[in-house]
Amino acid sequence: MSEISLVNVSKLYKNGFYAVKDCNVTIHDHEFFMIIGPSGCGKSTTLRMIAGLEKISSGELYIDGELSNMLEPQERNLAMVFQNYALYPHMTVFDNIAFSLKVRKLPKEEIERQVMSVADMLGISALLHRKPTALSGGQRQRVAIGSAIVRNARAFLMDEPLSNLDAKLRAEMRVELSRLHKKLNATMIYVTHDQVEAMTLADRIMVMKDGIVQQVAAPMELYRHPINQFVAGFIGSPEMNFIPVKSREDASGFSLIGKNLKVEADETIESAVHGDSHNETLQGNYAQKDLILGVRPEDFIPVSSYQAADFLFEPAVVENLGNDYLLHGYMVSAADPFGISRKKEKMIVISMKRNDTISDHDRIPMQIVTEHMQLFDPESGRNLLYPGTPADPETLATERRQA
Amino acid sequence: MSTLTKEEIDHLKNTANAKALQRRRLKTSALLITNVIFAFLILLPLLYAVSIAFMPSGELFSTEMNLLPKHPTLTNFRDALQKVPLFRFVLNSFIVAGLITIGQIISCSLAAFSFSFLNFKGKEVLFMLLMATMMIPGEATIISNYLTVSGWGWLDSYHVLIIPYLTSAMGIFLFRQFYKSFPISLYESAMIDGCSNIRFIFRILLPLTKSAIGAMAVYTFINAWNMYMWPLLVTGSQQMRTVQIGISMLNSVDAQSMTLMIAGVVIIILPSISIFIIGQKQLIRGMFSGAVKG
Repeated sequence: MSEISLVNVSKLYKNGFYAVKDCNVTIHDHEFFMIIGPSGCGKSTTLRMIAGLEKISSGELYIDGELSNMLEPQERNLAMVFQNYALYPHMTVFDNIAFSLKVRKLPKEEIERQVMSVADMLGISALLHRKPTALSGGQRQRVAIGSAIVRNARAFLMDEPLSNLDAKLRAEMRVELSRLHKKLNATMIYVTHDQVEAMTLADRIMVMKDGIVQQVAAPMELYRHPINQFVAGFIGSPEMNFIPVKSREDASGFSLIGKNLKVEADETIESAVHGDSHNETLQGNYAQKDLILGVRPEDFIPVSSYQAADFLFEPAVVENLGNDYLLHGYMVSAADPFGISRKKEKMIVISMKRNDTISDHDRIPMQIVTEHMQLFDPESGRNLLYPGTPADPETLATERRQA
Repeated sequence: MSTLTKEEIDHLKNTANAKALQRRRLKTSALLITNVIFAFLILLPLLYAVSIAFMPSGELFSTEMNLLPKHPTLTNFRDALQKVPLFRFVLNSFIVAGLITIGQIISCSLAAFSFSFLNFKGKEVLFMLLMATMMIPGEATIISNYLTVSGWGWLDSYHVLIIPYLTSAMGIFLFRQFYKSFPISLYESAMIDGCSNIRFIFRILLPLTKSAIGAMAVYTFINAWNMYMWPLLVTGSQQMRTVQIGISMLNSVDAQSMTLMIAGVVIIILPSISIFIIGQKQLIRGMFSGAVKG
């Protein structure tokens, strides 16, 4: 098993388009590492560059400390699972799994032993004599995974391996993959656009957008401390609510004011807005500027009185998910409880665990959990409350080279 | 208003069904008859040739309409085989066409592999140049080719018949088109598994592109079998002649016998027709592969 480092890795196409730009990351030994982002963000290209299927335009790739830019895919000793399974249709399941071992000219008995052990592990022993066309999607996926894990590769690369499966199978395979990772204790690099997969499986997640790495962090770290508005919106389902606000300081203290919202802010927020936060890159003073307040759907608490409420919530659509509710609706100012709600405004989503039914006519007094609030600069999208300094790519690159 | 009894309803149903069935039968028969007529018209020269081959020579040139032989005979076949070593010609043609076919399949599939799976500088330009050679008619290069091979002292041998035809731009094009629809992830997966290009071609690509190979084989074999100009130019002895030249040797100025010649023709078209019949499914599948999404 191995450690894989990317130092300033870029992929530049002939037309001048950067598919990946200055990617700096180290994937540790035994880590389940996820690369996530919307379509066309460069996540698959990054994986393919690691695999050697795509040439690296600039930067360095180290596998176990060895510079591997120029190594052929065969020489990197990595295994990969493809989105469309990539099984050889004219070979049986046994031959498909055994292929990489046969290429390495292992003794017949050894091949048989290893294939049987992998087949047992994945529960496909009964299918070994079938051709891939006679298998269901889930079974094919297992065979594809089997073909990858049968040999002792340094790391396993997976390119959206579950995206062709239906929702139920996907959930099953997720559990299977998690179990497999624990059992093999292998380094896995997994590309997906499904943030549920990323959140449930990953040790660490790298979020990409337009070829640029946005943030690399553990799932909950990403969820609670997104570096910018893009990451905040991409991670979490339903999406984080973004509400335009301005800061105001008066006799009652420091608060954030939206069209229909007033939130008392604590010191952390106040110092962030005033630009003297521990976040050194945020030098500007945001006191007079527009800001965007980010609140996760579960970070709203219904309160009993209008006085304690930050705003009133008027549900328009109630989605019953069984265990909890998703309420889509509009905000109404708590200062004017009988005012007309602004239907033209964007709806917000609130997730609630409540046993009683919610009428879509009620106006529910709501409070925001301030400790989980995020505050974004509308121009740069930066999170003012991000704890720590976004790393400088050059410093990171130097550190990695030295390592 | 009177109501219909069950029998009446059944009767109406049956009449309607019978009418529909009759209409369908009529349509099918009309289609079948039209097809048979057209097939017969197209096949007429061939069928007539087979018929002439069985006619005594005196029967052919008469004023009567004689599509079928009145006194069928095998003399023409016997005479044709006696006059020229037709079996030798057939064997020569088989050797030449067979080796050309094998050679073209190997060379064209390897070249097409490079053009579709490998990345190298000038790939597109090289392919365009290759395709451009298809626009040069064979007749334009035949003299220079002749001078080259005669300079090497290759005349009147098997290799002069085979080697110049061991590859073809058309074959490379056909294979490349077929490989374009081949999922690239299989190649990538094989590469990551540690497979070499040669191993990939022989263990994965060729077994999975059997229909392209079949189409290519039929097409090449028939073309090689029907070669006339080049074998005529480069071979001199009877030992090296191929069937197409051999058949023209039946046409002597002194004793021209149409029935004899036709009998010879019937003998030599049998192999190419049987190859076509055996390979027609592959040929059609191969020719149209990639034309529509499968």
